[in-house]
Amino acid sequence: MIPYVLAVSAVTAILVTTALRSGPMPRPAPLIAMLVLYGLVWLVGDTFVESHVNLSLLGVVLLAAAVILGPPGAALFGVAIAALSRQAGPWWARLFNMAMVGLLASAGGLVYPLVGGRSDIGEVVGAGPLLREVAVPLLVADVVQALLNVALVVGIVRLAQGIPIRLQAKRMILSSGAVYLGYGVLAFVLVVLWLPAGLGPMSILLLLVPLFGAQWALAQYSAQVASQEASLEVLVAAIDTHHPEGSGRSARVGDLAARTAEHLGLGVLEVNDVRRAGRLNGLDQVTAGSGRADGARMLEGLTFLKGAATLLAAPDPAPVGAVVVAAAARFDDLVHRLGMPPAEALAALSPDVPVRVTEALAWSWDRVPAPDLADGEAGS
Amino acid sequence: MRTRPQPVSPTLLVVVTAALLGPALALGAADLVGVASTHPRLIGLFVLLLVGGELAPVRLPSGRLLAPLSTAAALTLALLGPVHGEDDLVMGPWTPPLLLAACQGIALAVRPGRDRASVAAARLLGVAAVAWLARGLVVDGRSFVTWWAGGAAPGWLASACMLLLALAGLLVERLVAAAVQARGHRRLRTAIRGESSEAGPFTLAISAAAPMAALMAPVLGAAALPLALVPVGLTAVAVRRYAAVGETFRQTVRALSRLTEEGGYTPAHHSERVADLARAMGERLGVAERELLDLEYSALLHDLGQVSLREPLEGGATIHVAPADQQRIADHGAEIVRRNPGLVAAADIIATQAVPYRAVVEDLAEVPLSGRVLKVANAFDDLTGGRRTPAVVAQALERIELGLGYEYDPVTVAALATIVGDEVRGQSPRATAGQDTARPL
Repeated sequence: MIPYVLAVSAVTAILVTTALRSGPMPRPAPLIAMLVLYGLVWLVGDTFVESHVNLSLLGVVLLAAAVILGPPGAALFGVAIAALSRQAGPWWARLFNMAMVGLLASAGGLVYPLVGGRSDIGEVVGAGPLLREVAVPLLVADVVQALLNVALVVGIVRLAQGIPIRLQAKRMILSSGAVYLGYGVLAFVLVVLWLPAGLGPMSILLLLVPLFGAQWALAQYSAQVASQEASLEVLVAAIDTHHPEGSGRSARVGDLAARTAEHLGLGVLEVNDVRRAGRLNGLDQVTAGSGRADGARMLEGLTFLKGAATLLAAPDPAPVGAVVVAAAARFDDLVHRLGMPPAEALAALSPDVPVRVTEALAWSWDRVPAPDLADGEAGS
Repeated sequence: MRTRPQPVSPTLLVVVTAALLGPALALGAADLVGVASTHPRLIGLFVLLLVGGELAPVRLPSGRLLAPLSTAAALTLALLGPVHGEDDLVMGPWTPPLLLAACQGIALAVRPGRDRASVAAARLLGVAAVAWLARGLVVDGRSFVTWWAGGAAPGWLASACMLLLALAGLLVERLVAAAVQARGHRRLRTAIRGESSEAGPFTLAISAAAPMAALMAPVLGAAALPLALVPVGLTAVAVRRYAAVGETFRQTVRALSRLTEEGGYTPAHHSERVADLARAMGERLGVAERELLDLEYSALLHDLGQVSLREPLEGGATIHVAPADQQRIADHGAEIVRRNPGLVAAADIIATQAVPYRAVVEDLAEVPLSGRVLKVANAFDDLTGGRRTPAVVAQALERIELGLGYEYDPVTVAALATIVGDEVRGQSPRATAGQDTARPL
């Protein structure tokens, strides 16, 4: 990990040096203006589009710096904001993030003129020349920045979390490709407003206004998605309230069923559905008062729990996930409610449950963390 | 009791807009024909964006309709100065609203709708105001557009003025829209607060597009227009996603509210009826839009605490149980609902639903207005079982009024009486969810 971070930092140092030597230093006024405006961008903050993709005006500003400040200015700007940004985490993570910003800014600054981009565009007018001499080179620099970003992040994620390079690269390109295209278009708007239209720093404020609106909407969206997911907790709390003597059962069954499903090789989404179905397994008891005892019916209309509802209502022959949930729930009742030793409980399941499921259940039970077991026993 | 708001009906708004702007727009017809003949490509591009924008509005979670692309394009036309590659654009103040009205007519012919017509009229008034301020108002022999296009103003000042003008137009639009929203039981002040909180950030986003397009047009030509609409388009996509997931969450809460019905604790549709009634009462009492949603969610989930009971209550009516038991059920319900961070405000309301009004007056118990509304709405539905016949309503109100000032807040009871009174008299029919057999009063 650390050698990788040091190597990235070394490459950044080389690129920054090259960019600084590639032309005259920028005038201080635009550089200071961009730094001040970056402060405003930082105040607005990032908004997560999806779990690992975020929308930030920093991406737009980093790209536009290649035109507005030129290669040396872009490198200086990148180094300055890397140095000014305060981050949490271990030193190597902070160093990596700082190196990333410097590297992307320098690379953008170097690529733009290499592919024919003009920096003296104050007098350029007309859609044709502006598209040819600014927009297209800017988009090329954008693509280079995007690819470098993917390459560097894929490397660190592989080393830190062990996620395969190809999988992570595909995930990043699919999820953030459109965002980078948006950065390219917005950077072009920023450049045109700043230089040919003569607005200067005011242009970034003008661009900040609609992006603030977009970030507001995305923040609302993220909060709603989180609330949607948390609705499961309301149902689980209702089950636990209905049967206080079985407190903790929902969590235990969900955890055990998910571990068993994982051991049986079910996919990530299926394991997630199994965990949810396990947690909601006691819903039948809440609805039993109406004489229907049909918890799955309750889940109609809850689209995010559709998979779990399918498992709870599964007919015979039930899919593996449904068998796992039912087996984990019965096993939990035998052990925690009836006080049966685990080995006997597994033996009691055997006639109705396939051997591979009871084996996976036994394997998972052996690996239930001690605190979970203690909590469960305390609640039973 | 507060005075009842005077409604502005959507139809009336369309008629008034036509009457106000009709003659002026007719005067601008010749001007529009002239501009269209000298700048056919430019006007064609605007027509495309205006009609497209009108046909693809964005519906916010509250149901408000906005047409961000159309609004931004119309405001751009109102502020537009020189366009690279085009002859000088000489245009009177009525040309932008006239073009917008024509495009709205096309869009309404393709996809008619009364609510669409009223929001289109509000938009037209806003654009007309900006066009008049930018092109019609002449100071020292110059209009605003002549001033900025002549290069007399520095770029930052011109863009700041344009931003203010666009915001003024959008303010007119939102105020007119709020007046339309303030029909029925909703108060105008509540509607304006709702407009500013929900549509405000989006409106801000739209306001920047017109200055961007107008300022880029002298160097970029007509291409400036679609380019400046990109940020608005991004915002619109984000808002659409937010609105979609917001609606899904609303359905989720409604589905959660069925738990007590499926468990046999409460009668069918009780929580939905309480939610509808509580929302109407909240609107009438001026509860802000965000709090209205919390009130609706709390009403939908107010009986969730009953799942802690070993045996269901008779008819699921908490009004008939002892105060201590009512509070216990409320506490259990609040505890369950609080597990969702997005429903904490609703949980707080649920926790206070059993507190008698005298505790607010005598012991200074902190019970929000929403909690007092929920208490009365729940009691009314417990007593009527959802039936709205004059006799049942009168009996239920009589029973509630016995506890006036002691158990129930007089202000909320007055709101209830007005709303259900209007319903019974057929003045403001509201769809009520399924009715149950009335319980003994």
